[in-house]
Amino acid sequence: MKFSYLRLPVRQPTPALGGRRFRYRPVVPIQILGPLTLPPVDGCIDCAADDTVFPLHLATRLGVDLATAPKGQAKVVGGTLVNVSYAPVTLLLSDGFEAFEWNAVVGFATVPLRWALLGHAGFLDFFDVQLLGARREAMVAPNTAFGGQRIVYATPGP
Amino acid sequence: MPLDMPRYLEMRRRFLANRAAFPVEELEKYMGQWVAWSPDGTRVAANAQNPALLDGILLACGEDPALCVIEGIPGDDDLLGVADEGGP
Repeated sequence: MKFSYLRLPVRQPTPALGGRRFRYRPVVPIQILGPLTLPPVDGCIDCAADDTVFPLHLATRLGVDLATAPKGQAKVVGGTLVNVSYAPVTLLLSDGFEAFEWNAVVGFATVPLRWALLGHAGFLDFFDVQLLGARREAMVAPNTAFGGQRIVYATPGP
Repeated sequence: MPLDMPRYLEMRRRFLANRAAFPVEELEKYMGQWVAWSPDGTRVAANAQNPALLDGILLACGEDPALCVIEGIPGDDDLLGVADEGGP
């Protein structure tokens, strides 16, 4: 699967980028499947995240009982430890040409997150990812640990 | 609810192509807020300070919340947002 990076604005010009007022991030829409149809959310491919972690507001909508869910801590951006409640879910990721559906135990962060964090457990353990900086693209391919389902719909062009 | 996969994939393909071309200057208006993208990725269908409010706004606009990708547009806080605690 191929995903273009998402351009996101920043308030101040970024010196490291020659004063540009936006940054590119490898953000992809990912969906939690369940008895309820939840909206897809954006997730940032994040090799610094231990776990795959979703914003808390989705847990309520999924009906996850955070009071009884297993608790733990995961490292996210900058090595910050955050408290997380875990639940098993089914995830769906697609670039529009093919889709991958798999089961994973993911966290719901007790701190607010702008995006889901697609970290090692639950995501990077199952997918090999190439970040193509010059092309601003993320290439995501299932690896041998992926135990889910692949659905092919169309062949992408060059 | 089972997905209509061909329709889902077609929608996702259109969404990704259109959103990649969305002007970043336009997105600046929503910094620090939560947005719900239109299913085809051409526009921001709803925005709010709290993600729990998005469904109601989308329904009022005649959009299906289940088809709209939700995202927090970073403000000064970058990754960590606000008003996400507790949920709906």
